[in-house]
Amino acid sequence: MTKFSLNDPSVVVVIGSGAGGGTLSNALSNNGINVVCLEAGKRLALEDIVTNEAEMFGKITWLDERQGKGVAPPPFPVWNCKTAGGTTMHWTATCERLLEHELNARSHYGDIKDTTLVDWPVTLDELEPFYAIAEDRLGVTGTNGITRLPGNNNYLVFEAGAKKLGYKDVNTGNLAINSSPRNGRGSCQQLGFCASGCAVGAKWSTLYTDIPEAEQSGHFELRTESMAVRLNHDNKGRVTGVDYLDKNRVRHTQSARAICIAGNVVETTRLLLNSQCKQFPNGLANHSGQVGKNYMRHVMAGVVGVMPGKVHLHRGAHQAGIIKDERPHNDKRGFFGGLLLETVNFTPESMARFLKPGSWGQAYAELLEKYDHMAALLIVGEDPPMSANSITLHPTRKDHYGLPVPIVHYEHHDNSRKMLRYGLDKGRQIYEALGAKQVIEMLDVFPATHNMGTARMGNDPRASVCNHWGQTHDLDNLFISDGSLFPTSGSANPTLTIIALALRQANYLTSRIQSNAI
Amino acid sequence: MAMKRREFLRLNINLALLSLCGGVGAGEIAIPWSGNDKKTLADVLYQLFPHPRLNKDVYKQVTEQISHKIAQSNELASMMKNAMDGLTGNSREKWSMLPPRDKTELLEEIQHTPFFQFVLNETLSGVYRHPDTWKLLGFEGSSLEFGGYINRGFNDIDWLPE
Ligand SMILES: Cc1cc2nc3c(=O)[nH]c(=O)nc-3n(C[C@H](O)[C@H](O)[C@H](O)COP(=O)(O)OP(=O)(O)OC[C@H]3O[C@@H](n4cnc5c(N)ncnc54)[C@H](O)[C@@H]3O)c2cc1C
Ligand code: SF4
Repeated sequence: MTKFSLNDPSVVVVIGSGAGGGTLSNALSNNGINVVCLEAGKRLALEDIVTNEAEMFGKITWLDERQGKGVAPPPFPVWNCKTAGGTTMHWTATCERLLEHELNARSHYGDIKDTTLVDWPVTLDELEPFYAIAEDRLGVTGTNGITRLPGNNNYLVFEAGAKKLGYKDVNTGNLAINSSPRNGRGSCQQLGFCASGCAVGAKWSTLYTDIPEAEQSGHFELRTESMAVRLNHDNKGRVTGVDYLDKNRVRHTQSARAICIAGNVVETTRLLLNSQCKQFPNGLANHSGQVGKNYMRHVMAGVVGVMPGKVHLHRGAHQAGIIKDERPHNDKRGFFGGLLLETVNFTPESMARFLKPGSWGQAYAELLEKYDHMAALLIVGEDPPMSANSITLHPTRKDHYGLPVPIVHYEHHDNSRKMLRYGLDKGRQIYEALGAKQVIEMLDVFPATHNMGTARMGNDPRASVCNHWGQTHDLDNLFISDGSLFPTSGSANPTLTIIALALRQANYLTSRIQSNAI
Repeated sequence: MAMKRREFLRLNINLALLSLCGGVGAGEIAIPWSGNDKKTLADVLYQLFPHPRLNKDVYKQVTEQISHKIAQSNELASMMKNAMDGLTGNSREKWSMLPPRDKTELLEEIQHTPFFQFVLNETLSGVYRHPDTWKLLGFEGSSLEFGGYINRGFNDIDWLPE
């Protein structure tokens, strides 16, 4: 395996090996650029993935302390991974492109009070070629002639209800899950544990795609259990290296020609804020003051229907079901932006935890006994950026690394409340149309799974952190390579766009390095 | 009569709450478990998620798991004793004779205490992670060794309208 020394100034350091960091590392190293990827978590083998939710939660989830404020669940505001492959281990693989109007939110929706809506500095035309590459690389069903997954029971209920409501754009979705073997990965066995890591590797994760491909290039080193804690810079506007803690919490400094941060928003923000210094008193690359602001996580809620017959929603791929009819912007609904409805599944434990959090007693136990009659869906909608929704650092509390604990503050915009009401009603109607005996709404119970916005791209350095390549305005060789870049959220699950942006950034960074501009 | 008894029990709860707020100093010795405490705790767990058709061993096992954690923390042990005294008015026997409705009412009074939340959280994972509970609920557990559900009914639903 290739190894680079700590004082090798030729390497690009990528922080995080998930969707953004894994993709970027692979693209750069296959362009012949030396890459060290620092990954806070361990590296698992496929054999380490078991079909047991509790065990996998302990193995792959980011469990270091965080605090939630507003409607973000206080002890666990964000759900993501600390493991090689990042949250592509947990993810349920829905891959939707953003739409034209979503990339131009400000122009389409207007000047909406209490939001920081803007248009993206990247056009759909510019993104499309990278979406196409991403879909091919991930093997997204419903694209490139790849057959969609067959519908499982939870989907069949969802589809039948959707049809009763007159929805037309309903299918098992565009998923980065193989319906038949492709690119060296096998096909989905409907194991039903997608969010615990796919034990057969049918679901795309950088762990067994981009990371080994990057390693084969001979230009890549994955350094696991290496937690980046501070970025260093010179006084010429360039980052020079990164301090990180190894598994024994011994501090090292890796020199760098350029640094790309893909820590999944909360950690990306924390790293920038923690790298504050005389020149950047509010955090590195934060002359705009926008680092950590405009945090978005999608308008999200769940609906569970207790159906007249058995569903066995645990059998099969979690998110193989989508309704897109509500996605277009439509003033008549009384809110701006659109939403998707997607199937979701829960184990008994997560059902008990999320169905009615904090509940106990006879009535609740009786409800949970109907587990095998339950069908479930999520609504995922466009989340307007708001300045006050933010990630900040706790003034005194430190985690086990000795780093300030992140505080995730999130409130709903009025528009989101209207969208939630609308979406929850639609979800309810889907199940009631099929004779559901009871419908339960899950509102403000989930930790965020999608994170966006805290280092937004823009053309104005006073109002954004990065330019349209994800390069920070303040430091030429510092890049952001995750959902932090999103100026607005759109309604699509974010990862396909994170990957498209990372691929696009890789081209730009490669050309800058090759022309010695960086 | 019943009213009076509940009031009496409530008083005990309030005392328990008071002592809960007191906290425990470091270095205090964990309160040893009595068999009766365990029995009471097992019954409390049952009241939290009562599944009459579930093998009672599940609750016993979860009680053991929780006891194990409590045994390692003086703070939890002391909270536990206070909570038990409060719930049972110092007589574990009396608790076991209360009708479920009264038990629920007493538990409701302490449901916002840290000890209750600890027990609730542990019980939730303990009960709903248990294979016997899965069986009762119709969840089939680990599927890898059986080749997933692709040939085991992932789309076998038969009651949907045409
Ligand atoms: C249950 C669940 C389901 C999801 N389903 C979908 C879906 O269907 N579709 C979709 O589009 N998205 C989905 N997502 C979201 C998706 O997982 C993320 O958008 C995506 O993984 C983000 O990629 P990333 O590279 O930004 O971060 P991650 O994939 O989270 O990778 C970040 C990596 O950085 C590492 N790291 C962080 N900080 C440091 C540091 N300081 N030093 C070193 N390493 C660090 C972490 O350990 C981690 O491995 C889901 C998420 C969850 C939790
Ligand atoms: S349902 Fe399919 S994608 Fe999900 S874990 Fe199982 S095999 Fe993997």
